[in-house]
Amino acid sequence: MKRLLPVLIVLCFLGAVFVCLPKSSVTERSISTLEDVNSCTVGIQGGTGYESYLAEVCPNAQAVFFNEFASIYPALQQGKIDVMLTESIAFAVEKTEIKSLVAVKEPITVLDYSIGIAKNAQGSTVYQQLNEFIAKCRADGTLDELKDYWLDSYDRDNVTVDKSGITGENGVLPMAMEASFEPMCFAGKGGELIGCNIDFIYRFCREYGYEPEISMLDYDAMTAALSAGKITMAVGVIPDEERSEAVLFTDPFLDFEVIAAYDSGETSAESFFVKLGGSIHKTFIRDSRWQMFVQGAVTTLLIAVLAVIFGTVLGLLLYLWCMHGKKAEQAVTNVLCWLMSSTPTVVLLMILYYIIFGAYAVSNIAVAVVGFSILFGCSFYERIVSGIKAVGIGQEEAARAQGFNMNQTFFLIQLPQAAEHFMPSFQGDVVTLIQDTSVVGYIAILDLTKMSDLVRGRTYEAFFPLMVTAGIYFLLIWVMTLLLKRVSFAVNMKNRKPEKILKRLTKGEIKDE
Amino acid sequence: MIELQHLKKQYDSATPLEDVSVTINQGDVIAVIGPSGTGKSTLLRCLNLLETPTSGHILVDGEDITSPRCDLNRVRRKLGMVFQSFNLYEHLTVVENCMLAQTKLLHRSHRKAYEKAMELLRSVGMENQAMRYPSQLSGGQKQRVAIARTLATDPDIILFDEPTSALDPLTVDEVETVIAKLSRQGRTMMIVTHSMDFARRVSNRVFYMDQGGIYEDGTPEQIFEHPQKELTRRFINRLSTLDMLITEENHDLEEEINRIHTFCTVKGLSPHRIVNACSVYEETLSIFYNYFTKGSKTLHYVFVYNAAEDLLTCTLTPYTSTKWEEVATKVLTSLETKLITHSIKRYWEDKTEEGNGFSSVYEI
Repeated sequence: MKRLLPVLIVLCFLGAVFVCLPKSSVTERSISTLEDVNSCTVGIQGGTGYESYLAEVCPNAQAVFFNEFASIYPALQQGKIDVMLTESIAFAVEKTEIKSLVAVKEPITVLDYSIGIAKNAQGSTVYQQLNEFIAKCRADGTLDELKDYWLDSYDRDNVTVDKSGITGENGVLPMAMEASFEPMCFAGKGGELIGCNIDFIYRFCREYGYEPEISMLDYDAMTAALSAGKITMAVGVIPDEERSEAVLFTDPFLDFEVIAAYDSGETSAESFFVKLGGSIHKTFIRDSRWQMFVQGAVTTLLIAVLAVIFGTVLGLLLYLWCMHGKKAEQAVTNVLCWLMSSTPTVVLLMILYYIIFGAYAVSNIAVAVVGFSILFGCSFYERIVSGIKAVGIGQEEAARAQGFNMNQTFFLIQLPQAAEHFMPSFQGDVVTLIQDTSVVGYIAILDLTKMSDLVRGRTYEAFFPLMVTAGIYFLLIWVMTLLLKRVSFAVNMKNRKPEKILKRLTKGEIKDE
Repeated sequence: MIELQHLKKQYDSATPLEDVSVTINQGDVIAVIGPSGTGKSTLLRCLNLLETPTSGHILVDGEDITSPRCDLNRVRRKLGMVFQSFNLYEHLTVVENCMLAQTKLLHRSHRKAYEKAMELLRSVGMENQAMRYPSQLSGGQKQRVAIARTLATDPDIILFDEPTSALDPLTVDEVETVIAKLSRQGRTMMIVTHSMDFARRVSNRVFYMDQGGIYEDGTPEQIFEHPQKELTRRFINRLSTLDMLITEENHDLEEEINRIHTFCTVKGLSPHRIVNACSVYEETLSIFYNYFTKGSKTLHYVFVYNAAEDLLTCTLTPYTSTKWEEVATKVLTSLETKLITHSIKRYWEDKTEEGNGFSSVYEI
């Protein structure tokens, strides 16, 4: 059976590849005008607000929302939607990846591409400077140059951003932009951030002596981050009235068309294996994207391991605090545990990120570690409580009667036995924790899940990034489980070897009194 | 050595100790007896503050341990305690149980603690089990280890909280022997027990507890032979026990019948009940000997006469190496038909943990 297992796994994998590999759905309808779009299901990226423009020109079209752009194309390909809305600035790139993508000639609307600024002290200075800079660039042709380099004559294999000359003499400028949005902002070779937005921002920062600190946020999360003061700038947003209550918008530095695109259903003549090879190449080899997976996995592992360590310590401290304390301490701890277990992880992380640490310059990873440590600590506290209960009051009394103090009783007698009871569930908690870290992308951390999103955003293919991500998670969890099994075995005092016990007990000399 | 001054313990629903003042001297072996719920265990647990007294003072060697300034953990080392439910440290081996307090509290070297632990285990006959874990031991063995563990820290007084109540009758003896040996060595001890026989054998001072305190305090002779006070007299006379452990080797039918006969006659029972008592014994015995032809067998009979309620009961617990379940039904029906003729009430008690299946109780 053990020998067959790898073979079975490979077979399953190949089967899955065959079933899931991008296949073109045959579109029955022809879509060439906005009239045709009117009767379609349209995929839109959430938070862009394109649905209102769509409703103006195609009132009958049914909108379906996606969290990120990378998810829209696979949906189109699988026939879940008929048409996707995209931007003229991105379409050229999409077209090179997806040959069968065709744009509807008439645009839905034309929009300004601008920068959102937080309403705070740094924000108002930067607002002035940016408008000044945009006006200057428009006058001296820099904006046209940017447009030509990144859009009109875009050469994806040879673009670079000049990141030199950043002095940072006027401080750090925290900003966010949407990742995986080629050619505006995307992970280039080896995961380095490049793109039109980046280019523009570096030019601005060089001129005004700022040091850019760029985090990746989803489009709809950027406004919240601005109003919380986490960032000063959100680059590449579309000004709208409602948001301008909370956010300042600079003059546009570009404009673009919102267009509808559909899958023409043309299949390339390439064979299955060529396509497979191409997919693998795109996902892992091109621009050394495998590095992104490695980086993501390291981040995920870092957060998980730190959270387990700090959480374990926190749980122990909580227990000791309650043990020495009276009812008040226990009540506080119980309320805390109850709150933590009833708050969704994402919500907790966002509260920590936007509200509690909103005003402090704390790294995102630190926020995630704090959040997961608290969560893990609370669940570990409860594990200890039930473990100690399972040991029973009798041994505690016996130890206290012998003259052990509370701490000695806990560490020498109760904890070693409680560990036996709670280790299996502790193991489960760690596995859950690793899985739960996949939501840290919400607070702009490039963990494994987020990295695979970025890769999907560039390849427009879901299969390999997702399968590999799942595989890496499986591997991480498997290794952690093995490790914890050893720990479990080691903490169980009954697994000690009799010879070793005896050796330890009888060491030393008998001193004469 | 220990002096209690107006000790009071009050719970929400009951006040087991109203006002207890007594002095315990070096060399006292005190048996604490009395009806259930009269605060025997509470008194014992107050002595080392496992229960916090509501009011009053406890002086140990002149030091008031109820004062908040007292280093309780240090005082507790002077008072060893043996529990009804043993409370051995389940994650440690037998010898480690006896060493932990020595190394961690008295800071003795491992080697020295080990030698001491082994010596004590030898004295309670457990040296061969030193490397086993408590879960691998029988009740009697556990309690002997618990006694060795308590002795390891050289306490000035040992408190026994019903040390044999959780044991099956076959192993009670081994624990009682160990305690009796300690008593002969002149150790100061305080023993809460339900066994009058044991109390009388081992102690040199008896507390009869009732009415929220130590009702009568005297020598075993005084308490058991000539109780001075009314409630003590009633308690001593109320419950009389005849305990017979029948094995194949010591079995002598005639003598056993004689013992039952004498026991009943002394209690002033009617001839009819005496006959019934004897026939319960004879018939159950013959049935068990009929059905358990293979293997060793031991029958434990306890006759208890409760004078206050004029109630005579006989409890029979069989111990046998034969699989009990296999013949259980046959024995049960057999007992049913035989005893029905004597209009004797019989009921079964599940004693799976202690005996080899159950005990049967007969009201005669």
